[in-house]
Amino acid sequence: MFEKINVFLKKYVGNNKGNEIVAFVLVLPFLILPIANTVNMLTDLVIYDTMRQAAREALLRMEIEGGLTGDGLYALEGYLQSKGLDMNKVNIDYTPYPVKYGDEVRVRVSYEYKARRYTIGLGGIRRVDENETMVYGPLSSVSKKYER
Amino acid sequence: MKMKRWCMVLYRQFQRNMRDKRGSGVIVFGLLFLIPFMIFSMFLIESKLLYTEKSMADDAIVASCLAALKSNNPYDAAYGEYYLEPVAARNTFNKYLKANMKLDDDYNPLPGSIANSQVKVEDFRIYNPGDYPTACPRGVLINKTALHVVVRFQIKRPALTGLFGKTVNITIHRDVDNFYSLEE
Repeated sequence: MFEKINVFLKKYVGNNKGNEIVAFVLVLPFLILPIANTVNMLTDLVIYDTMRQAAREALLRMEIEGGLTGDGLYALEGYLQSKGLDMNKVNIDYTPYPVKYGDEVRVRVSYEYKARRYTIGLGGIRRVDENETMVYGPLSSVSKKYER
Repeated sequence: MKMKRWCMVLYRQFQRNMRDKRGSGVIVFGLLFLIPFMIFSMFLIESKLLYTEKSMADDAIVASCLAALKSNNPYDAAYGEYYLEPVAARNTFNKYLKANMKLDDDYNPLPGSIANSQVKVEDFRIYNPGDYPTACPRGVLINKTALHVVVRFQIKRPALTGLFGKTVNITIHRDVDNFYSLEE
């Protein structure tokens, strides 16, 4: 790869056109960096928003059904999976069914993910991966399930 | 080693270009473009983050309202029109609002809370049988036993504080009854 770059530089460096290319190459990392970081941060935020919506829906269901039933858990996991989350890295803490009328129901969803960011140094653009956990909740309400 | 050599070649060429003013236009233009471009990137992320934080607060308030809607008589609440005892409903709402938004007894944020200031419950109204059909002060039609809540607080702005200020004012208005369903 470096050989190809050297050939390219020998061909163009030294004339006006080449100078502009070299200048563009120098500026390019600074332009790529915000794009790459914006995309990665927005991706993480979209995942968090997915977790939030899943937890919110689960809580409303738990409130009506008196805790999270097997079907409710299946639907919650299915939703998260359909949005591309790795279920081995998802942890759901919830109040299981049955819960008496007026008692507390609670849900908390966490997800272990790799936060990917890019930095710039003398060696060029560098990728930094860090293991992080995003947590939503606990969100609590009460059960409205009443059976005579 | 090759990488270092390549960088040095680029650096020397950069020095020559700047001296000769050949190609410097591209660099200056690129760097000038960079500033608004980075601000726009930050604006995008910040908007999404603030929207998510507002939605989280909204979830906390809806969950607290649903908790407050529990009636002392479950049979009425489950099968028909029911009367909500105002003091008990308010106490339950306060208890769950504090738990869901991570607030202390004075409604000030605890570590991990999305709020950055004291959370103020500006309006809390209970609509019991006899009060409805009516409309809440913000114009939403009330047909069932319901709660009308307006909560106001501030959240910290993560970036662009110099442009738009350090905090963002958030106002959440919700009218919640036992038939509440997701809107998003």
